[in-house]
Amino acid sequence: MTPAPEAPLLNVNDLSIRYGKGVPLVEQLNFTVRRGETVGLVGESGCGKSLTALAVMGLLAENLRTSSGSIELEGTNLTALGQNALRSYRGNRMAMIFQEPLTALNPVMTVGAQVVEVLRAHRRMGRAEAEKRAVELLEQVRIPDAAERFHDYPHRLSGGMRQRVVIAIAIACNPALLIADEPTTALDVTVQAQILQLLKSLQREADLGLLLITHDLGVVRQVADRIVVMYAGSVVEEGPVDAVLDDPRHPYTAGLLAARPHGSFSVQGHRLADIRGAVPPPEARPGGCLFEPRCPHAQADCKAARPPRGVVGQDRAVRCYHPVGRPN
Amino acid sequence: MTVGSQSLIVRLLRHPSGLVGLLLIALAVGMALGAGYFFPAGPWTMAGPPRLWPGQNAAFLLGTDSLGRDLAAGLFHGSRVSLAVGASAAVVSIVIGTVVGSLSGYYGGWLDDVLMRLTDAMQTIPSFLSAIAIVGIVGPSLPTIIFAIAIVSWPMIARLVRAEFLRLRTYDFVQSCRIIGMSDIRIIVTQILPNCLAPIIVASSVLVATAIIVEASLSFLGLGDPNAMSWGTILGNGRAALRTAWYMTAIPAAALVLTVLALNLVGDALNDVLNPRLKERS
Amino acid sequence: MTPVLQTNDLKVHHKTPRGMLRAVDGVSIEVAPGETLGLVGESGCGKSTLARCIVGISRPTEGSVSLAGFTDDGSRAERFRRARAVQMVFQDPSGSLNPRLSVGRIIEEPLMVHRIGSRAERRERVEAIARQVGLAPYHLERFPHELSGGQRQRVSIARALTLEPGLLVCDEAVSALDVSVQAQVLNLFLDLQHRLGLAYLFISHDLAVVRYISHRIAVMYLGRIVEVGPAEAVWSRRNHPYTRALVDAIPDETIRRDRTSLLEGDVPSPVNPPSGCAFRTRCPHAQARCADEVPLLRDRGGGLQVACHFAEAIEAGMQAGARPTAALRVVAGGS
Repeated sequence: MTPAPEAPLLNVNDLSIRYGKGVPLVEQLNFTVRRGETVGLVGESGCGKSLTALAVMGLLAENLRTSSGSIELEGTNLTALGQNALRSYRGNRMAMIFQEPLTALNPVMTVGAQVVEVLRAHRRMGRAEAEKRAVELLEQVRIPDAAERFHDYPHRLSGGMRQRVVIAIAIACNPALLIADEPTTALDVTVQAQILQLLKSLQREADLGLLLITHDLGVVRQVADRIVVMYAGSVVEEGPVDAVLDDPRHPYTAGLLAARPHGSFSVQGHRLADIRGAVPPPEARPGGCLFEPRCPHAQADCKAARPPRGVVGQDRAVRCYHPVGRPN
Repeated sequence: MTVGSQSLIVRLLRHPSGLVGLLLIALAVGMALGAGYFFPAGPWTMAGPPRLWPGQNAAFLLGTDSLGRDLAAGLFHGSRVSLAVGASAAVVSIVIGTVVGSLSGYYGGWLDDVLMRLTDAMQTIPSFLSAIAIVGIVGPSLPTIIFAIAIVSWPMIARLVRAEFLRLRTYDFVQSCRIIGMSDIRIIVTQILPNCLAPIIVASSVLVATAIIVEASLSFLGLGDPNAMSWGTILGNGRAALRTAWYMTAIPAAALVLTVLALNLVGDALNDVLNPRLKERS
Repeated sequence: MTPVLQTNDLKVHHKTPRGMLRAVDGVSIEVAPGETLGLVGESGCGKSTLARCIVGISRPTEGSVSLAGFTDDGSRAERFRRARAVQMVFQDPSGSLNPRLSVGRIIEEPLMVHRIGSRAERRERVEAIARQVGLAPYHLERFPHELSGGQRQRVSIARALTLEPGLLVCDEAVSALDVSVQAQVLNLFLDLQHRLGLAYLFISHDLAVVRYISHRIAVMYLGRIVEVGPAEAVWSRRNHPYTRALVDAIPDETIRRDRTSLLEGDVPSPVNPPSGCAFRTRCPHAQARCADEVPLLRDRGGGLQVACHFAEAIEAGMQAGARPTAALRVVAGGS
């Protein structure tokens, strides 16, 4: 991990996203991504992690808007920009890869043509030069026989190959920030390992900031430097990956770790520690701590108001009135 | 039928096209139902002086035709015929189309091939000409006309239903029904069909509109049931006096246009209401 | 005791324009009453096709399926008998329930189809099953879209239990659920097994889940079983190179590991699989014999069976700490 005296690459500041004037789907989100750093944004369905990614890219649906806060990329406030200005950032200074490679690629264009397309959109390149660069990019993402695969249509490639093409398109213009939204969830586990390794090496080569969104704590442990845990639209815990996962402070993080199956029931006879209840929908969120209705350690004061963000150690923060784990 | 927490009718009424469309249709239906009350003598009675313009005589607000028949009476009684034929033809065509489409989509294989080739064949025949041919051969009567219209309209429904079945039969809940031992027919009727209703309902409004127009055209050409006065019949009767007494064609034409427009508006509204996901995505 | 499931050299082959698709290529597995057999494999390995044959919605090309002793010929006439022997729980909580039926009706449906009991008796049974799977009586009036993913999965499980089958085929039944909900549903599966003596064929790509819940594990690759045995034995010994690759590929949440020996290439297509051992194109230990001869499952002690010509040497080598020999380059399509 690179030392960080400079300003962060991506600075999400007090971000709230809502439907028109409705309840906030994401409330007062704060986190940063530095150059050369991988931040794992973790949470279950409905926590708002994908919405956050779309907000950074300026791709929110029309009926959603960022109602407060800011998103700064390399110092520029993206929420203040119009769509035209944002377009020059998308694919250029920041790029995104999604979960399902099949729908991320245009089925009627060859994969090579799609890489060329993004190159010529943001750089002044002649066709021949762009094609040459495209083949280089396909090789960079470890696609074998790149020059031949250039002419293939997406349906002829396997899921892993398609995701590599998606990554090639994303890094084509040397973005500073790469957002990956569940990039390996739809892939087989052996292919997943290859793609994660590819992302890590690409990040090292280009000193990229990588925002990796996933529900899989194992992926975060293996790939990320810092972890940001989201629950019901808010960040509940953040910090260095090893510190947070070895010794979680927020009961939700602890619950997620304990709920993962380990060992064998027939041998050890242990039941899985589940978190009772379910994630509240945005309209039905409690007024106090969001996790309080499901928290095994909840106390009377947890119902009062949202807990403030409190520092609990080196580079670590948690939103909890009564953090668990070993105090430092 | 409830869609979400409000009934279908309520949601239609809140949609601007739906509101206008439903009102116009209500008007037409009102005319059909009230025909016997307002004009007990029927549309064929020569009630007054011929070729009266609308407004000329207070007793005949919409004027009279060349034989002195009250146009307003014709309009009201005509709505019965036009709407009845339209609705019946739509129902018959939906039944045929649904049977063909569901069997085709559910079973696939050779049955699908055979039925789809049949559907293709039916669609290549120009619909209006074949309606004329059928009525010409069998003779003009309301049942024949309804049958003739239905025969040429069912392919559209069949394709629609087949597409829905092809999609839904892969769903796990259908597989689950097979695994619990449910028979195919029961699966088709109780599981898949109820989930196809939305596109069928939307298509049916177009079907009714088309049926009304075909019936009107047949009557206009003199191929309609001679014992039934429909809007098309009035149109046809007014043709001879088109240059001088054009109101005789304009009035039934307006009725037809408004009714068909209303049906299309309701169809649009139904589409928006029953397919909300399409709207949200845009 | 008669196994609740026994497949005998089951094969499902389809002719496609590009060649013969061997989705299932000679699978013989057994599940004892009250036991969980975990089935793992990646896409294209045939586990879903195998599941479909077992529950009777697909016909095998060769081989047979025995359910609780009677050989199932997959015919329509036997569908009631089959329905009372085996049921299935699916992956997708949203597609597996009819959106237009109430939860109570969904659970009641198998009883209605089999004409079991009067209306009142069926109602009672539905309420009892709903309680067993952790649903409250008011849930029975709800519709699927009003329930969460975890609750919908409970409805699927309840429906599968109404005919009191001895075997439940769970096809990625927890894969689409959040981690915390997954834990709840896995606990439910174990509860039901304990109370009702259910057997499970638990299919999943997630080895950690399979290891947790299974008594025995079978590993599938391109239509064949490559390793099968007691869960802990399969997990800790990982004799077959593919099993080892699968376990190694799992991102471990407990500790960061530097993995240098990753399996290369893509999962090949089941159309025209490689000759001999189907895994040889990606196997670091492949030799000439692997291309000529199909390896059969052989006993490796402790109940473990492995389909690999060099299983002994590989296990000995691993214990001595040797690294796998240089991996072969990827061969797309696997010829």
